[in-house]
Amino acid sequence: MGRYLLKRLSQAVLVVISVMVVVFVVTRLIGDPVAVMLPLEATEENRALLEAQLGLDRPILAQLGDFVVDAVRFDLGDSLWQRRPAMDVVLERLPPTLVLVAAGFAFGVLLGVVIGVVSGMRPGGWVDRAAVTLGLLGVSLPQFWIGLVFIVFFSVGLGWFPTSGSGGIEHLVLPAVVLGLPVVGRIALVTRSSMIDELNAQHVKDATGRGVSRTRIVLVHAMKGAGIATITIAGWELIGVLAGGAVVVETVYAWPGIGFTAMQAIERHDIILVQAVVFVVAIMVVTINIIVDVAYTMLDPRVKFDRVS
Amino acid sequence: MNSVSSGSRSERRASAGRLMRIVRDPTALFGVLVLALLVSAALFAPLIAPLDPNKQDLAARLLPPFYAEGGSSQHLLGTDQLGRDVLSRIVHGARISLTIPLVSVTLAGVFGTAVGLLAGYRGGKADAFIMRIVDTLFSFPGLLLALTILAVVGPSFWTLAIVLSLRIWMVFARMTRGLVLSAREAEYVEAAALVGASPVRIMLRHIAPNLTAPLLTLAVLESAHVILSEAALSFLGLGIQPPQTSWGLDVAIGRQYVFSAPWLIIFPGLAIAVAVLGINLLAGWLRVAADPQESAKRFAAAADAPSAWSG
Amino acid sequence: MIRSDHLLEIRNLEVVFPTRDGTVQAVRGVSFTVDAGESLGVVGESGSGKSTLARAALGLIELPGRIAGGEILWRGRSLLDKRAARRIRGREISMVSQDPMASMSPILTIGAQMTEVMTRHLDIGKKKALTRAGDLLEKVGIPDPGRRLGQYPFEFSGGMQQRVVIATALSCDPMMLIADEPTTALDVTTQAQILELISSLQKDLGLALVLITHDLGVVAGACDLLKVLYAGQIVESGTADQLFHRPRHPYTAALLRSTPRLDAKADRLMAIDGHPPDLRHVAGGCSFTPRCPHATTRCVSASPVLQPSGPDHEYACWNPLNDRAVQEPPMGRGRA
Repeated sequence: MGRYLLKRLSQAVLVVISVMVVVFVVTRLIGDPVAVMLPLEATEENRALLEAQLGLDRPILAQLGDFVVDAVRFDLGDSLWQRRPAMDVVLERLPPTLVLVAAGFAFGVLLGVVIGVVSGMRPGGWVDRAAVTLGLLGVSLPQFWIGLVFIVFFSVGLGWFPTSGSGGIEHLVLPAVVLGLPVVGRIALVTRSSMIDELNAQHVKDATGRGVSRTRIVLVHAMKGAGIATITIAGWELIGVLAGGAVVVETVYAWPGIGFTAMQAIERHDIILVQAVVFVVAIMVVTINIIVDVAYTMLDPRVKFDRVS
Repeated sequence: MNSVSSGSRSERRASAGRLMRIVRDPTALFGVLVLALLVSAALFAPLIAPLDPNKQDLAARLLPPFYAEGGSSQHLLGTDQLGRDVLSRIVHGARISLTIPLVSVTLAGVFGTAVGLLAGYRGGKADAFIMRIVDTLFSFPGLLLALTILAVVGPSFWTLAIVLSLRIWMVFARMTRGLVLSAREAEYVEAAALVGASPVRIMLRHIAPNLTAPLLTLAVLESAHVILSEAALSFLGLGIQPPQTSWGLDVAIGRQYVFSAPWLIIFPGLAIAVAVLGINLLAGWLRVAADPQESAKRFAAAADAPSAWSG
Repeated sequence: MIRSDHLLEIRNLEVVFPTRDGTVQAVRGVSFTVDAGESLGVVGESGSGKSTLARAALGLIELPGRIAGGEILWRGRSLLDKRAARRIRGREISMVSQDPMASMSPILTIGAQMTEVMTRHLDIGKKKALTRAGDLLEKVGIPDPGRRLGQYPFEFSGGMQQRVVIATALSCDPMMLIADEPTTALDVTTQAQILELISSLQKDLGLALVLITHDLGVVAGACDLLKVLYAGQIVESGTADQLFHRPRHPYTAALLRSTPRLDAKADRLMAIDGHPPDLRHVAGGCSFTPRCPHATTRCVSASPVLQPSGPDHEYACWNPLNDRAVQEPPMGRGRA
């Protein structure tokens, strides 16, 4: 277990470093960071000054080395927009994102699992048809669009929730639901599919023959199996919510988290702040991956830590 | 030899039968019809669209759709803040919103399949190395990284298409590798190797045919993801740029008028939703058609394929 | 309540499975009885309806399959009533199925899966159930049961896992055990051990046993009475001795010739030519006609019914084999 975790951790550090190398290559080699950051009317002197300030006049490999070493020390440089360490800005904006992601993901997984289990118990029934349709809509509707439609309908039309911003629980409801909807769809479809597999498995038929009750078969035998299959998908979904959905939903609802911050930083050409957001999200993504792997290994007795590559 | 040729003949007959079955399957038929409609809209946009999508008519600004009070039959779905016809913009928007997935998925499919073939066929260290890279890329924060790249490099049709294909090629690589590995195990492939068939010949004649159906299904499925990604990126202002039109971009423009002119976001968004739904229905059906065991589960197929999709 | 003096009585049972290409008539008018402590062997090829028969006796026919006719009586009570069947399954009738590795959930411990039946049917708590499970494992020959209870099915060998399945089946002191091909998935040496275990348990506990198999060698030593099933019908029934030495139905004789024996006389095995009939399109007449060397026009036009040929011996054939076709019995495996 200890050795396994150590191995996974070192892999995770490697992933984060490669993300940062990609960011570096893209920003310094393909793009022209100074041109992006400076206003159009900037002079050559302004340019040289900023280059020196950012250390862009030094050899590229030295820059890369410093960049990675600094990143490992959680030093991403100063935000051009806010004029203070970019990491400070990101960590300040992180809690609202965590609240939103937690709420949206919990909503998505709970509802998705319930729908998936219920519909998987009777494939082809009307509950199942409704659930599959809902699931398909969840994965097919563009999230930013649902966000806007919900604002039109629930905020403007019915006046139930505020249109944007943060504050009390009423501010959280719409963004969390919109963030969770695609999760509901995919988790429901996957859980349903594994429930059907489980309930058709020989061991479930034989358990019925042995006299195990239907309730126990569904709640223990089938759901544990389906849960193992679902947990990997749930991990992907959480990563998707964090690295994609949150940016979109926070922008639609002006939710003051790191996704919204990243978009603001892009508008203000603050590449350094964007890099800091990418860095923090990358760390969270690899952490989620480790947690999912460990959870999977603990839930499924057939997988042993030493056998996981 | 005999059995092989008769096998492929009966296979051909089976696929003809499958084509017949799509007609009898209402949801799959719906998906196909919707896609056909959207593709023909994209192909014949200038003929179909009632008006020039960029023609401004300030006298007819923010007109509501025909069914609402003040709507006119001249602008069936209303007009935007510059008096441009919403329906015409949607018809023209289909061109980019459908070309982007075509280009991205083709790029990603070709590259990913090539890498997967290499990894699966070479095996050993090359395989381990390639798959390590693929696994690493799966752990990248997808949409956020795409945003960063587009912000630095500058959004355009081609950067968008390439960035989106960079996000999904690993899916093709992983699936191709898996298929190659299991096909290599098959007895007829081993037999072909034993009688001295060249690796290229084995690859083309014996392994490639096993890849087509699953990879095509995957390509269909991934194009749904690309449409949604393109729309999201264009919505965030880092995708398609004016004066080009795309559905996501139109929603972004309409966002400022969400309270006064909701039709500006409703209809382009519906176009995205319908296109993605149609593709998902088709993908689900393709998977069921390729694998009879899936038929009990029906549409669920669309969702549980592995994907780098996020957001 | 319908009167029946037998433990299990099946009357004229018909089971059908509607499919896209027609309705499969899996069981077509089967009747038999099993009394307490008796052991019955049901023999037939795959597709003969023997497994369907077993599942029907436990009320386990799943949709779209259904029981189209007949009656299943357990101690005089109909098992066609799903609720009655639920109460009796695992409690009074237990089942052991073919593949022990697939028979239990791979992600729950043996202990959990043994006790879940007991806590439901017997009035005992988890702790007591676990103790009892340990005793049962010991009884079926699994050493170190305390440790084994915490393990998962994949940590057992096939034979050991089948012992676990048998122990679980016996956990509520049932009156009858239905074993559907209990040895087919096992290797030959293990087969004999498992058969021996089932036979000895049957005798020790006074269990009624229904042993379902395609292999005449399996039932040779283990069963008092045999039923030969073909295309969903019983074609011959009798004691092992009668069927092995004086088979009347040509199918029974063919089955005997295709069963391996250890004596030198039968130097080669004879496969039965042809295939079992398509049960979606059952024609009139005897179903064995197309494969039968003795078939006449009468076999095509009319279905033979079971008729007696001595005590306990019945056959359904227009042109039965006579006594001179004496057969050597196959070597029984696992004779207790």
